[in-house]
Amino acid sequence: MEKRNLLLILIVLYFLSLIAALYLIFQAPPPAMVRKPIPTFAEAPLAKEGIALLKIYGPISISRGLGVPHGIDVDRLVKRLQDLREKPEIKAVVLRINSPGGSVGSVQEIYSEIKKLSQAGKIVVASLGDVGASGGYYLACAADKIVANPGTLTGSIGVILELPNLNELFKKIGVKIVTVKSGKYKDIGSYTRELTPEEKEILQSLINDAYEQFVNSIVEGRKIERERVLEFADGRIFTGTQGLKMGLVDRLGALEEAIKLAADLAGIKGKPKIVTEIEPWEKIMDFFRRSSQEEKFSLPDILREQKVRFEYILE
Amino acid sequence: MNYEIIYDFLTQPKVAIAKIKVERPWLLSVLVVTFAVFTQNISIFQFFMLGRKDILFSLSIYFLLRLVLIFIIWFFLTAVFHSLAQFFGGQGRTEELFLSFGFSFLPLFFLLPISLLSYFFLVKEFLATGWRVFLFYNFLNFFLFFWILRLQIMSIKEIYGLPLRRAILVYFLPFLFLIIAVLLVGIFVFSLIFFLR
Repeated sequence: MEKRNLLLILIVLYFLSLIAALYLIFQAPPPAMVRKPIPTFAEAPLAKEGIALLKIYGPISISRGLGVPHGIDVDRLVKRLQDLREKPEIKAVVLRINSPGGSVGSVQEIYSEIKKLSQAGKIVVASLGDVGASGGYYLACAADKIVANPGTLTGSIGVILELPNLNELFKKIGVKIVTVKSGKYKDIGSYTRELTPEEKEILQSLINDAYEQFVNSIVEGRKIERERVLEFADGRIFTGTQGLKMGLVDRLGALEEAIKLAADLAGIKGKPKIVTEIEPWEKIMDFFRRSSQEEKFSLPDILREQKVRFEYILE
Repeated sequence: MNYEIIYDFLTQPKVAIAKIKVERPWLLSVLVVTFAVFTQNISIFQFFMLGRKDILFSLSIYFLLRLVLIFIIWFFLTAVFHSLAQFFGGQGRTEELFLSFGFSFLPLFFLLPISLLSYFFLVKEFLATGWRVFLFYNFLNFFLFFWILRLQIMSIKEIYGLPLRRAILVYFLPFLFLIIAVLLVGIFVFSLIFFLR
């Protein structure tokens, strides 16, 4: 009997507690329990619009041969930029650039895609990391704003064309290369002989033309007078701080500042959703692709892979 | 229905388990589990969900989902423990273990009055911030968890006639295997990420 009574008391207490708890849950909490809104950028609620974060790390070249074993995949980057253009929820793009530059064609291909992004109404902010020089800076010129760290290496405005000349080596080891060609300048830049003065002139004109294209992009993108640009566009490098004084950079700061700037320019309220560009599947495929590449050390392979370098690059 | 089993299970578990073997109180066991899950839900909502507009809907959905999950886990664990107990030389019936495990949820009923007392007598501002509430709630659950653990190990011991050490081994072995499996998967995933960097 006593057991039953105790049990009954416990059951009654339980149901009374249940009623009290249900009453508490369905009524509004007292003011002290209501959480205050948190105003900082880091803890604000997520906005619906997003900012895409695109990483441009390493040398830029379409062909990833011996010269650029760890360069970026230009075709994939261009495709990504095209995809971003089509997404209405992406209001801004932050280009995280950590590149010494790369081949002229590749750089210009990416540059034109970035320009198309701006024309499509997206805000583009370039954030320079350790290095954002030469071709890396060329890409940043397509952005609306450039943010760099005080110690970022930037500048190196210019073009370089390097041609190997193995003529003396071949003489030493008794190797003779025979060339049969259709035109006088068909083997221009050949590693088997010296350049002629005429050939040097032709190549210099290529360099000058590419250089003009680079200068024009800075004049257009940075809104700096051409004469002013020519004063420092001699291949020298600058720190981010120096770049700020010269108008090459808009603001000093890290990636977070660049994202905040992009959010402000795009009118995104609250903490923006950051969309990164690499899909997990692509990372796995990259792993297998890298592991299948063999290093080549034989002379014929080196000669076969040797190419003319025509690059916006920081050496 | 013999409600005294509830009282006995909390105060004299051996006596209660002996009664369960004879009477097989299915309905009472299922009711205990249902109310225990409901009680736990109420206390969770009391700590973390005050002031929500859609609270009735959330409470209902959350309760139903958890109830289904608990029943599945209850059934699955009974089967695993039964197999392991027999493997270690025990002799007993799955049905008895299943019912006894149902009653082992009884300590969760105490969560409700404890939650209410903490709400009224402790500093409300202390309870207002996220991670502190979480810590305090789990601190409360901590003691009840050990009580439930003790009841379940005792159930295995009494139903299968195993010595205490073997009953403890039977109870913890599946979780140990699970931890090892999770660690191995974690090592594999980590090494994959390391090589992909």
